[in-house]
Amino acid sequence: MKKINTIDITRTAMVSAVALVLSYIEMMLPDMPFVLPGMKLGLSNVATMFALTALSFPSALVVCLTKALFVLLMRGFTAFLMSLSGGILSLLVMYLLMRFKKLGFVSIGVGGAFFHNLGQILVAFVFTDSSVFAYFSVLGFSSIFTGMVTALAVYILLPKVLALGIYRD
Amino acid sequence: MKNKGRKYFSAFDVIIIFIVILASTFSLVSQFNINENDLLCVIRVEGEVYKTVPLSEVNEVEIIEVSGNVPLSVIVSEKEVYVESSCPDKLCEHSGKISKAHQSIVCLPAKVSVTLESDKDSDIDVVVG
Repeated sequence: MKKINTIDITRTAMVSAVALVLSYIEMMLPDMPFVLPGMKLGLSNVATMFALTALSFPSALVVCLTKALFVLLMRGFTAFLMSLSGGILSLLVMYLLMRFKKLGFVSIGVGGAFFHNLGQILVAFVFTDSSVFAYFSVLGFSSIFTGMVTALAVYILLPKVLALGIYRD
Repeated sequence: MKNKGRKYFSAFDVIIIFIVILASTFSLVSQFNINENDLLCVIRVEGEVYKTVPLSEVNEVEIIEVSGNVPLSVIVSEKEVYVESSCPDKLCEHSGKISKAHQSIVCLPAKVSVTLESDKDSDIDVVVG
């Protein structure tokens, strides 16, 4: 196993902090017309995707877990399970998609958003019944838009943040 | 760096977006089918199946008496199912009428549950699996 150095821990912690802040900001956003409850922009996915692109898979996993723990404290156990399953599933898919060099950021963002919804719906299915999948189609369509927004944010931020030098050895 | 030269949008992204649209549409369509299917009204007493009535085979109204700790009657019609009970709680009566798959009425004192089930359930599981 690769030796973990302090600089990587610090970088992961910084991205985790950003993820928590984004997650909190999103919680405070008012309900918008024509947007169903549960339909969210997934702002904190920006942080996860950033960790995955600029740092490493383990770092992104830590960001995911930190976010899930934050949700556990703020919104309770069910929300924690949903955040965890959605987060890990979307992370795995984004990691997989990232191996294809020809794909653009849009693919990674949309794939991640879609599987984040799928992970959450699967947990909802365990607690209720299969009627939640009717809702899944709505979330699925919305993930195309939200994924593109997330991807755009990472696409714009990545070169600028890397230029600061704090995420590069 | 592994993402060097990655574009924001490449032609291959269209494939991924198409797959997402396809999966979402599929999930929507599969739910429309479920309500059109024949519904089964399954009455369970203490978890054991007591009686199963396909809604399509009901002429007008069928009343099923379930005698347990608390006597209650299940009123089944072609479209909907409801429960009448002499139970003091009246919780099961307050559940109202159920007409869609997976809806249920539960009476805890009588240990009776009435559930609408659909034969197509297994298919739905395949769709998501």
